[in-house]
Amino acid sequence: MTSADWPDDFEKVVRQHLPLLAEGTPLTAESSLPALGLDSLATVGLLVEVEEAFAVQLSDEDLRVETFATPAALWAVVMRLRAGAGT
Amino acid sequence: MEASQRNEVLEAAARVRTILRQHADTIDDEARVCEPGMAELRRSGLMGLLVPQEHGGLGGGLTDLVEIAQLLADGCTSTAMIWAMHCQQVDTLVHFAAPALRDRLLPRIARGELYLASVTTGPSTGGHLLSSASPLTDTAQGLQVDREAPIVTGGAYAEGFLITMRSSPDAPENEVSLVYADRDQLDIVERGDWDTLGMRGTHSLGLKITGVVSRSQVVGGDGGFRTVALESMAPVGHLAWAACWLGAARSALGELVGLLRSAQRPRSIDVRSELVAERLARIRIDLELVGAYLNRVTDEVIRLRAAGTSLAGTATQIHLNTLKVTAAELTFQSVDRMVQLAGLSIGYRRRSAVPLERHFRDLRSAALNYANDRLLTATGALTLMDRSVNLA
Repeated sequence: MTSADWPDDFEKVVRQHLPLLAEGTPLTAESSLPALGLDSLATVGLLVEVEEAFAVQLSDEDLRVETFATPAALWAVVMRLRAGAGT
Repeated sequence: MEASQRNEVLEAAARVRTILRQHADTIDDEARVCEPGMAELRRSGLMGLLVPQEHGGLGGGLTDLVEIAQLLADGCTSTAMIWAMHCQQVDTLVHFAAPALRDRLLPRIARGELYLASVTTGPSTGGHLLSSASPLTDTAQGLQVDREAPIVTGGAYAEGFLITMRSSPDAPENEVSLVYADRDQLDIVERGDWDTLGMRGTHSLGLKITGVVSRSQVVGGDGGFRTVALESMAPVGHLAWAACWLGAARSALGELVGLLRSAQRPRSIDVRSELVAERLARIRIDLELVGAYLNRVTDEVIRLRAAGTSLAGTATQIHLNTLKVTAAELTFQSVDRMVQLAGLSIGYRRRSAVPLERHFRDLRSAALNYANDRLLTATGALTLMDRSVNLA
């Protein structure tokens, strides 16, 4: 999976919460978000902005460390919620 | 640990406590480590409480750790903290050192020959555990350590150090490795002195550390400190610190009650008055809450570890942070209340019948030692991630 698999909006939101990701360095599917500076407070910010930007609400079950481990994991949850909302 | 061995260990801890009590005022006056107490801790085997029996240790667990930390703090809070933080480092080695390093270090710890200090604060990061500015540099001789350490508890006495370093010169600040270094592998320059309000017997010094260690001395893998911190260093630290503070406050209350029940009680304190009873009740309630929560969270950590489950889960992190913050606040509050109850001559004066003044100064450090502010920020963020509110 490459960064092309998610929209630019998602990439932009995620990057804003990663203080250790240099501008111009690509965000890959398996980039470790905690390693790029996503601490607990930043996670809350990312959660709120992703929920607003994609009109979803993460359930308790999705609020796990694994969801915020990589961009791919988070995007997978967002896509699942969006698919559910459309049916 | 079997019941008979457990009794022996508790008796050994009680002997240490007797020595600590004898020296508590002097080491507080002179701001130095209680060397007779440290010598007895080494001789008794208690430095190896958490070392497994196959490595010559006592094979104790976290329940023993929090019980003995309270007992030692009944003698001297500073020395109890030195011991508790040593045990914290031992837990890290037991769980994360490679087998060869473990085989080399654990028997020395069990024999009381290796007191471990930790170097986890940096000039720019303060107590922020998960970042470190100074990088490990790979050289032909091994990994070069070159680091300022603003506060190292027992730094002048330790035979070994666990040191956080940025994993390489190119690594980001939060990619941190933990390395073990023997004192004789390092050049250590002491900086500044330790002249503080309380916890004076920890003799925590600034150190400039340089040296070269082998790659096999990296504990928890390259850049693996985050996991070490989440699974061992932070949880065991919070349990052990809370136990020390609780032990100090319990000791203070025990002595205060002893005085109030004796003929020497100040005439100004009428134990039949409702005001005195209400004040005593508030003090007792503070300690009841910390004691119960400490036991509860200790059991949670033991249960999760036994099941092989990570301690990094949201609710568990909240519980561990809450324990540290609550223990720091309530034990200090209880001693503050004891000072109020005991009054100027017993509560506030140095060398009074109950050392409330020393406990007050010591416990004031609790909210600063790995600052409550940072833990509260993290706990608030984690609270938003736990809508089902999983309480301890």
